[in-house]
Amino acid sequence: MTRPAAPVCAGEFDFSSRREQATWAWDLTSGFDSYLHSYALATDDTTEAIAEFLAQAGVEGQSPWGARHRWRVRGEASAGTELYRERLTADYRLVGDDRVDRVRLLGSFWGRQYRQNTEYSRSSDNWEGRLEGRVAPLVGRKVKLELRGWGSLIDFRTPSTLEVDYHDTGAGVFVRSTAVGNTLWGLGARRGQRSYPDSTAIDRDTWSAEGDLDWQDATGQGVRLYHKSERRLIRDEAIRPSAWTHWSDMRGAVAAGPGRVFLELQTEFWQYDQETDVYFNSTRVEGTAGYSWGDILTAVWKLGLAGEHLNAGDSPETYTQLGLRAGVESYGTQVGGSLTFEYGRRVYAGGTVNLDPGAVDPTLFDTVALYTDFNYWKIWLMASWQISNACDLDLMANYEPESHTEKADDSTLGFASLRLRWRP
Amino acid sequence: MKRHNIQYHNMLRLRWAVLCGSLLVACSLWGQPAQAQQGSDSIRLYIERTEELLLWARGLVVETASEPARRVLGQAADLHQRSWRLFEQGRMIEALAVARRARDAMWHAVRVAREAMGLEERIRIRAERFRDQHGQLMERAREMNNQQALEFLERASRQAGRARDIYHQGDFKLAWKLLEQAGDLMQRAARLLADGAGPERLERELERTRELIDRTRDRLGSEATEGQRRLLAEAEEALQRSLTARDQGHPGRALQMTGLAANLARRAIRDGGSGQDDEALRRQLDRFDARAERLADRVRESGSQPARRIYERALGQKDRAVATGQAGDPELALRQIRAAHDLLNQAEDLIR
Repeated sequence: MTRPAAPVCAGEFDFSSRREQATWAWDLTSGFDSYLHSYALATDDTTEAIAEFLAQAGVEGQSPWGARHRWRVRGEASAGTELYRERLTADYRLVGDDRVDRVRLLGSFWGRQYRQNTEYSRSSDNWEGRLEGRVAPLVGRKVKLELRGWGSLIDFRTPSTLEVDYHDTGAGVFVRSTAVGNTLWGLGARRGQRSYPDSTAIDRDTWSAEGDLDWQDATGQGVRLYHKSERRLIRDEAIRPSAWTHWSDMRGAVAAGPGRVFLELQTEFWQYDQETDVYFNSTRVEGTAGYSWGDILTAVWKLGLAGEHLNAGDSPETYTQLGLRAGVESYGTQVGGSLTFEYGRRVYAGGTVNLDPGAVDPTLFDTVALYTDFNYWKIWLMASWQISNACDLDLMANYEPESHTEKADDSTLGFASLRLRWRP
Repeated sequence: MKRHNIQYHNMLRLRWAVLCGSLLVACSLWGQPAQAQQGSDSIRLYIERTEELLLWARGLVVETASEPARRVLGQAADLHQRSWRLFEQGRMIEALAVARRARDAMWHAVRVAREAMGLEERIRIRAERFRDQHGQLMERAREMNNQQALEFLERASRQAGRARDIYHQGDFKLAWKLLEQAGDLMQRAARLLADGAGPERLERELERTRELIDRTRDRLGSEATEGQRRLLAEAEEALQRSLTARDQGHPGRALQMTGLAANLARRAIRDGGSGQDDEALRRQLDRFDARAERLADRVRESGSQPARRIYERALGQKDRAVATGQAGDPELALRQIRAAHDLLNQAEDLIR
C-alpha cells in the first residue's frame, strides 16, 4: 500500500481542479465476448464457441478528493444474448491524518440469470457475494498492523453435483509498510475455511503465511517478491488428500544500455500427504527473461525467452516448455495497447502410462500415451482507442493453438472481447 | 487402481501397431471357425476391459467439475455402447475399431480431468492473490487519480469476472487463461504506477520543475531580459497545464508537459548568459542553508539512516559548490548546488 509523495512546496500547487464534492457518473456499454475452446471429442464437433452480445449500464459514485471518509461504489447491470448479469462493488476507507487507512470495508456482489436458450451447459441462476473488513489498530510512522476478516458465498438456484453452493470465511493478521519511499513490504498470516453445504466431505481449512517486498527506483529498476505457503486440510482425506503449497513470484528489472533487462519467475510446489492418481507432488517453475526498450509513452518493445518446467516425479505430466516471446506496448493517451507473440514447444519427459499389468490383457493393450509433445503459439492483443472525451473502444483478444504430435490431441483456446463505452 | 508406472518410449506407435495387428488378426481369422472364435474372444476381452477402464475413468472424472472431461467421457461411453452392439451383431472388425476409439476417448477424458484438478487448485490460489493485489493497486491508483491505471484495473477486474464465469462452467483451462490475462492487465497497471508515468515519479518531476522555475526566477531577478521573462512565463504555463493534465487523470501527458516546462526554464537560464551567476549562486546557497536547517531536526528525529546519509551527502555537495564558486567557476557551482537541493529533496521524501 502506498501513498503519494506530497510536493515539498504543496502550497504552490493548484489543486483547484480536483474533486471537492462527491461525484456520480454513469456509462453505457455495448459489445460482445467470444470464447473458443477446441479439443478432441471422439465422434462429433470438436469446437466449443460461445459468442455473447450485451448491453450494459453502469453508475459509479466517489467521495470527495482527500476526504476522511473515502468511498466508491459501482453498480452495473447488463443484458446479454446468453444471460443477464448484475454487479455491485463498494469500497469504504476511513483515512487518518497521516493518510493511512484505519478502517476499510470491501464488498462485492454478482448475480447471473441465464436465458432459456443459453449456449452455456450449466445454466442454474446464481449469485455470489463477498464482504471483507480491515482494521488497523496500530499505525506507526512506517508500519501498520492490520486485522482482516472476510466471508463469501455462492448460491445456485438449482444446486447440482456440478453447481455446488459453498461458503468461505476467514481471518488474517498483516503487518504492512506505510512510509513513502521506494520500498514497500508486507507480512501476513491468514486462516480460511470453505464449507460445501451439500458435500461436506470436501470441506477444507487453510492456514497460510505470506510476505511481499516491492522496491522500485525512479527509473523503473526494481524487484518485486511475493511468497505464500499454505496448508490445506480436507475433512475427508479419502476423497481428496491434504496438502502443502508454496508459491513464489519474483519480478525484477535492471537498467542496461538504452533499456532494461527483466526477469519474471514463478515457482509452485505441491506436496500431498498422500499421493494418488490425480493428486501428485509436483514442482513447477516458469519464467520469462528478456530485454525491453523504448519510451513508455510511445512504444516499449520486449524480446525474451519464456520457459516452464513441471517436475511431477514419475507421473506422466512431467514436461519442459520453451518459447520465444516478442511484444510491443504503448500507453498513449488516445490510442494504446499491446501485442505479444510467443512461439515454443512443450516436451513431455514420458507422457505414457502403463496400467497395472495384472489387470490388463497384455496381448491387446497395456500402455497409452496420455500426453503428447506439442508446438504452440500464444497471441495476445489488447488495444484501446479514446474516440472522444466521452467515448472509447476497447479490444482484447488472444489465440493459443497447440499442435500435437498426435493430431487428436490438438487443442485451441481463444477469446475476444470488444467494448464500446459512452460516458456522458 | 494402483499408481501409474511410466515407460519412456513412443507408445503412440505401439498403440497403432497393436490396433493394426488386432485388425489383421481378426481379418485373417475370419472364415476359419476355430480361429475366428479365438479372435472374437480377444475382441470381447478388449471391449470388456474397456468397460472396466471406463468405470475407473468415471471415478476420476466425477471428482472434478471439468465439463470438457465429462463430455469426452460421455463420448467414450457412447462409443463403448456402439462397440458392444456391433459385437453382438457379429461385425467384429467394426466393433474393434469403435472400441479402440472408445478407449482413446476414455484416456483423453482422464487427461483432461487430471489437468482440471490441478487447475482448480491453482485458480483458487491465483484468484486470492489477484484479489489482494487488485485491492492495493486500486487504492493507489485512486489516491493518485491515475485514470489510465484505473482503466487497466477495471479491465483486469472484468477479465477476472469472465474467468469466474467460465470457471463456473467447468472449463478450467480457459478460466486459467483468462485469469492469467487478468493478472497481466493488473501488472500493466502496476508498471504504469511504478514506472515511467507513475504517480510518485510524476509528483517528483512536478516538484523539481517547480523548483527549477523558482530558481530561474531568483537567478534572473529584476535584470531578466524580455525574452527570458517570456520563456519563464511559458514554463509556468506549461507547468500549470501539466498539473491540469495530472488532475484530469492523464499522467503521461502531465509528464510530457513537465518536461517541456523544465526545458523552457533551462532555456531562460541559457539565454541569460553567465553574468548573473555569482548573484544566483549566493541566493541558492542561502536557500540551501535555510532548507538544510529546517530539515536537520526532522532527519535526526526520524532515525532513518538512509535519510541521514543522503542529508550528509547534500551538505558535502553544498561545500563543493562553495569551493567551486570560490575557485571562480560559478556556472559549475550552480550545477553543484542544484544537485545538493535534489539530495535534500530525496532526504525529505524518505522521512515524510
